[in-house]
Amino acid sequence: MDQDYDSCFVTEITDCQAKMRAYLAKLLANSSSTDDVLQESNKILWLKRQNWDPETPFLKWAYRICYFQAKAYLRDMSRDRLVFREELIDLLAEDHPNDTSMNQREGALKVCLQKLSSKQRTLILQHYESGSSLQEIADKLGITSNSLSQRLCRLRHRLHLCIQQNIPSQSP
Amino acid sequence: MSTSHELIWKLIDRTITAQEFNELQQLLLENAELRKTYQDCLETDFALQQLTDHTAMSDNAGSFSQKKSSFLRMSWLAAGLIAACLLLFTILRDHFGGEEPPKANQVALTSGPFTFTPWVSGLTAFREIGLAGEIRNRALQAVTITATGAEAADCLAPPHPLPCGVLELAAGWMELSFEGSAIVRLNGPVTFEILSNSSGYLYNGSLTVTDDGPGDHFTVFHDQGKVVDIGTAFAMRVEKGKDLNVYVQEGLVDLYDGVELSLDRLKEGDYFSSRGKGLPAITRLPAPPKWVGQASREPHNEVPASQTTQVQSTLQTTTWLRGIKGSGQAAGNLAGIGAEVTSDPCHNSGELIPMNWSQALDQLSPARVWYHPESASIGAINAMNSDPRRCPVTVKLQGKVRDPILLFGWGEKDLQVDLSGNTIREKSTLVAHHSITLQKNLLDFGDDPSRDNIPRQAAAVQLEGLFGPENPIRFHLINKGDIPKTLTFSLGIEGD
Repeated sequence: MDQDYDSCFVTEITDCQAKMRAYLAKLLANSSSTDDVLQESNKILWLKRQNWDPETPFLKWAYRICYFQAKAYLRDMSRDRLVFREELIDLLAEDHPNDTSMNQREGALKVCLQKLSSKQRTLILQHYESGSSLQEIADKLGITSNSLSQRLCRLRHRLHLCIQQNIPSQSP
Repeated sequence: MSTSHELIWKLIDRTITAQEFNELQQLLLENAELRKTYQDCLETDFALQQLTDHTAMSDNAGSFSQKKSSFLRMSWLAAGLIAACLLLFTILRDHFGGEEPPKANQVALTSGPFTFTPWVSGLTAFREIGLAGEIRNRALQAVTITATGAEAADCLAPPHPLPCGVLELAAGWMELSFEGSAIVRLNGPVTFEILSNSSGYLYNGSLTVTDDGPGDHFTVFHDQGKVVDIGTAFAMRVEKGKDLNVYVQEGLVDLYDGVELSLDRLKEGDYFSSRGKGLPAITRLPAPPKWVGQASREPHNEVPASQTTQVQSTLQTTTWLRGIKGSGQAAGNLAGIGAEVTSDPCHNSGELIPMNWSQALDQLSPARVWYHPESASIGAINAMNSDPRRCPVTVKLQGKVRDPILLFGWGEKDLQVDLSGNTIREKSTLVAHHSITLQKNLLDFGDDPSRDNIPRQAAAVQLEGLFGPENPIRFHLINKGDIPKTLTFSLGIEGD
């Protein structure tokens, strides 16, 4: 296999990592195993790379592989209580992640974070940065974890709405 | 905010109850708009993670010295990107594995009078001068060759980007424009390592630095210490690795003997001379010494990027591993140190595959674990144990590693790794894989029947020793089950 082809393939697969991960996270209900399945998908993609035609969209093909890897994983994990039913997975798989690049989304996120109060922003970032559980953060703040969870939900929902307004409109 | 949105966030946080999960599942089945929202929320969550990861990296870079790394944290970081590892494993297996061992020049740029090896060749006295931590901490950025002279001009059309690595220029001169605004003129013959956007390591030869822009003070390390430009221009020469000359053309320069700041801050016209272990001398010169060249004030940009194709660069990689002395000749040796792995008689299984992964990682996650200043991964293999049940594995590093080696492994149920014979400095299992145990020198990947559906489990062990070609890492795989098992492990080092 010639080096240009491989080089092109590596560029594609690396560019698509974030989107593949987002796609898998959706199918796997944001399971902590998302990275594992991504890893397996990457492996399969590489092994089957000769099947990819550089003239065709890479991502579409990658999603297909991810889809089958996710299904295989979920079959093994069927005893897990938080596994989506197959018909829902199929429905979710039909909707590919947004065309918005992760950079665009991150850019919009930064703008939207600025619109929150300092206290709200700190709360959100603390949740993501600390690696602490909700309970641990709630204890520090002197509130119940349920209350913290609701606050976070509301704040992220606000961010979510704000991001939708701040990213360029997507083609249908 | 509707209940359905709340359920989505609970799912993302994995705090959802089984009943709520079923409720959400039903809603998602019935409502296409909600499925779209679910996707958007996941992407928002991911963006928040990315953002905070990046922030954490920046923070780390700013206060590295105060942040002692934790073994477990390093393991987690590695776990987070295990996908990248496997990808690279396959990539490099294909590129560099197989029947024929790769040649060193597959990863090096050689053209005319210069060679570039995208790898750190080793900071020979890094321990002694006490700068290893600082060197590791420096962010890895590319520089651009923006001008060449004499013989070098015939073989390279600037601008040409370079990642970190060792540049050897046999003749002529070359100017590197650093992203931190400094311009470094290398005068061949010279061996210079690009460390970051504001630093390099001069092994031998001479260079001139102009640094009058914003950003960090440009720093040139050498075997005895470092030279820090306070502004604006200086020249420096290293001979035989120990003789040092510094001439200040403009502004001020600080000299460090190891980590110690010299009392004498050099100013314009000062000439510092140190030969071996003799006492250094500072004199004032009316004119620059003959060996001093003049670096440009601004990068030359007269050659369009479209004309740079004459150098077929394989330099997408960059390196991060500091403090390693290696030969650079190993299979897939992009990180500068190869791991030759043997596992007879298990070798017959055909599943033992050496791997290195530096190249793709750079592209995959430039801002995450792989540039983490406190850790670095240097290779991995897959090993399969089928028959016989006790399978010896030997990992012979091509270069010497002075730091404790981290062995970070993902093993299957019923698999054990016997590390007898190694000095274990530290060990840990990774959270959420409760059945894994580490007792004495035995790493047991678990046989808890209630966790049958966990395909792999992870653990990390830090081995003490001066590893290298003469002192390989050895361990045994023990398969307690009836079917072949796979151990995927990576090797790494942890910083100071």
